[in-house]
Amino acid sequence: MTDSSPQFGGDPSGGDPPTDEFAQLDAERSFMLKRILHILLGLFVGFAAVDAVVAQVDASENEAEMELGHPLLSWTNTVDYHDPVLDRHHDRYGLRNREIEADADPTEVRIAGFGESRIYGAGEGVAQDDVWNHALERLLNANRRVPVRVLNGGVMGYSVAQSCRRAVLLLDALEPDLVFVTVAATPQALIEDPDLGGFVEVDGRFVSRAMAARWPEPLLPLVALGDAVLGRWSAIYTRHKNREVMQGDLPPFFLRWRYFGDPKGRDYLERCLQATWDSVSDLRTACEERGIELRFAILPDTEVATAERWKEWLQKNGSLWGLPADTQPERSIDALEAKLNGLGVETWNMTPEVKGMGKYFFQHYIRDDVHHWTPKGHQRVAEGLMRWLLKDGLLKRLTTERAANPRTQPFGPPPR
Amino acid sequence: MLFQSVEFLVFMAVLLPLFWALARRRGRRQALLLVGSYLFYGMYEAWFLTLIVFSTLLDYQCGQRIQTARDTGDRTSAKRWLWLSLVGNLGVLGFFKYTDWFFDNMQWVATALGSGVDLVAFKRSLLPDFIQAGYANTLTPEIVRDIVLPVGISFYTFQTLSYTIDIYRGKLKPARSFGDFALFVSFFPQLVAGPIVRAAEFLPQLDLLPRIDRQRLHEALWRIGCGLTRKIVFADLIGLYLVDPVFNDPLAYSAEVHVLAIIGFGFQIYNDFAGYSEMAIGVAKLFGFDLPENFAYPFRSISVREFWTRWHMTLSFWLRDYVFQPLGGWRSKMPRAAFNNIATMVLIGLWHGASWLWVWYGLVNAIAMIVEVQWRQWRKKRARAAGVKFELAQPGTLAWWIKAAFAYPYFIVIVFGSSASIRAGTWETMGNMFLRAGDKGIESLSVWALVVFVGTWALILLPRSWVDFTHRLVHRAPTWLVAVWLGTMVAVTALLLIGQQPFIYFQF
Repeated sequence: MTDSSPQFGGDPSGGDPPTDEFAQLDAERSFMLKRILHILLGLFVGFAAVDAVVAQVDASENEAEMELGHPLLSWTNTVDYHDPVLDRHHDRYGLRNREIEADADPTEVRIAGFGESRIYGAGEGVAQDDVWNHALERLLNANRRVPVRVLNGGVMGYSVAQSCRRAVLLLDALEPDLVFVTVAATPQALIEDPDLGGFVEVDGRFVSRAMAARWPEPLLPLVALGDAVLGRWSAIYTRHKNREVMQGDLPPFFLRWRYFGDPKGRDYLERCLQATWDSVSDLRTACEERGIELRFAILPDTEVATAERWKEWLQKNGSLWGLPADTQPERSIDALEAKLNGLGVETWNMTPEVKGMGKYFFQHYIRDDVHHWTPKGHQRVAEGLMRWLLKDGLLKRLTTERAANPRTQPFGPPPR
Repeated sequence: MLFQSVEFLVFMAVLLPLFWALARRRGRRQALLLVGSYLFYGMYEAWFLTLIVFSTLLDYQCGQRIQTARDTGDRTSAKRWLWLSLVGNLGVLGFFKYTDWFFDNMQWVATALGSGVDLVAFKRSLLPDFIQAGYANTLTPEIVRDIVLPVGISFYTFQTLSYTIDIYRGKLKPARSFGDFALFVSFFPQLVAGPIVRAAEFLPQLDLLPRIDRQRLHEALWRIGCGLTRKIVFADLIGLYLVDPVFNDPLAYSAEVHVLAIIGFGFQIYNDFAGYSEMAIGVAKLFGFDLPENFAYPFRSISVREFWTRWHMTLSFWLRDYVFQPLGGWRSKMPRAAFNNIATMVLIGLWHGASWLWVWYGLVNAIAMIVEVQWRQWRKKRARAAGVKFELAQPGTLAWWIKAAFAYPYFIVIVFGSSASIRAGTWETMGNMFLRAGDKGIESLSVWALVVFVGTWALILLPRSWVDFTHRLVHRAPTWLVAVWLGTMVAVTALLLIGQQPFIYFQF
């Protein structure tokens, strides 16, 4: 198209504005093109100044207890992390237990539990020794010759899919006799967006799946490079990247899929659930290959703990999910159990423990938190787990089998 | 793409220098802007482009034909072409915006009459897949839309209609070229959320060489920085920490918190929309274009009538000029004048959204305005009867302050109360917000909620002289310093960005 093209209002006679107007435009154009450089420089300086402050703030905080940007898990516990104030300590595998000695007994029975923040032991006033795994160790080892070690693989914010993937990663290093993963019939536990979480590898670099989805494929190497450079130099960018990797800090997880920019419907929800079931199946396969017992511990959240809480939850959420007013919580728990059994895994239904804890609610749940357990709550959970371990001679069988097949090394190296 | 995104920064970094490099050549710079605008819009959804192109083609043709008919004195033909423009544009807008509502209402009627027919399922079976959304309206998550609402359709439809109507009225000549008209419709700074620009305001600017000088450049950067801050800091934060928690769970919070949240929503929508408008005006200025102002300190009004001359001015003036005045406006005698006002305000409500709550919103404001007009008429009559000249109190005088002291609370109740219905989204939530309350008091709110709330009030009450002083400082400062300030604002807003929250008015 030329200047005189009729599509853009060009004067077919070819008339131009007067020369002095052009001269003024040339002066202003030259002014603007130079100023664009000033603007870009000024933007950079202003941004960099704030970024430097953010970098200082982030550096001065205690080393983060979570390692963000994990290529396969999105985030995980930082290894060898120690917070004496909150009494939180991670061993060399990022598990929340006392450091594992180099000469561990190869015949010890090992139980590894995976899950989210409740399993991790989050919440105010919960010291390391209060957490369920230490409580369970004390219970189990009270009258035993062969020690039992209970490993805490919980990570805050995890879904069931993440817990399963983490368990798979650690199986060879830990060589457990039994693995259990806690699961609840909640959106955080079950809804895992297969497109958002995780990373894709581009030219040897890991780029978040969400970012990769936003750019055309031919540009991905450039995007990966930009991501690496900005991640290295910009604290603000790193914060956003980490937040995106953690799938955002949006309002309640079970609504998060409805707040996405793109419209998503029921089939999207089905895909998210399927991602969870696939992770369960992957873990089952990995355990079968290694001869490791696997259980899924159904541990409902607090809305099930008391009748009043259930009624309140139903009032707030019932219409959202199309639930009748007389819906009982067991309906979702039974459905979940049936689904897991259908996937070929055995389940431990710990609803009685949760309801028992509900009878003296604030003894077992942290006030103003109402999701995480107090030390007494951890003790109660540990007792429930012990009940399942002792049922049908499971623990006895594990002990006998391990004695017949001692490990060839105390512990394997931590996975990369 | 959103203004507050990395993609937009890259977009501007390429487009702006290119534009000024080509500034001498009218055709090339217009073509560049048009391509850039279509690219900007197409990044939302590529198929949205078909609608804006359809609207552009239709109204360009209609405009030409109307002018030809006027030139030959054929008013019938001119009217016919105008009707084609109205039906075509409003038909498309009506389909995307009101079909869901229509079927929901028909379903309600059918169910009330005892029929088992599922009209909503029938509607879904008729719609092609790519039009179907199945997403929740982000402002009121309970409302699920079936049909995607193309971003900006409410805005550009009114823009193109103003073109054909003004040609019909003889107030405007058709655009010099199709390219000019296409650029008027799709100019990216104001395409998706206004200001609604009239052709008479925009087209003449295309005939002039673009202008930029230090003052305009600094003004542009200032507007962009202020707009970004209002959107991210004031609007998003008050939404996150005050409005959303309370509106999503009204039964938990006390009455005082409800009041704060209702006013907070008014602040949120004001800063969100005014922020976008400021950015649009600033970005347009970088290309040498002037867009009309959309807000003039609306919360300094002391009457609902005054509010609507300061709030979303381009929309209210559009409806005044093309609906209210042609119906007779206030010149008509009551009750006709009341009807004119109610019709216009209900249309304002429905322009925002397809819901009875929007109708309610328009109705409440209309009734308040009628009451104000009647009150003034009554005072005029009394003054006449007493042989005294009726004069309005001048702002700043004692009489004005006394009037404001009584009028302002009423204004707050009407304006904030009616807009709360928008956020409530359902009658049930509205009832819970206004009639029921829980126990959690102000102490349960985040401190950020209160900081932003108080901060917004402070900005509203800022004296004009302070604002003017700041503008003078900005105009005199070196460009790099203004850019450093903008860079810090960009960084602060980047820190606070809660994901990429779209502008609230995108969903209108």
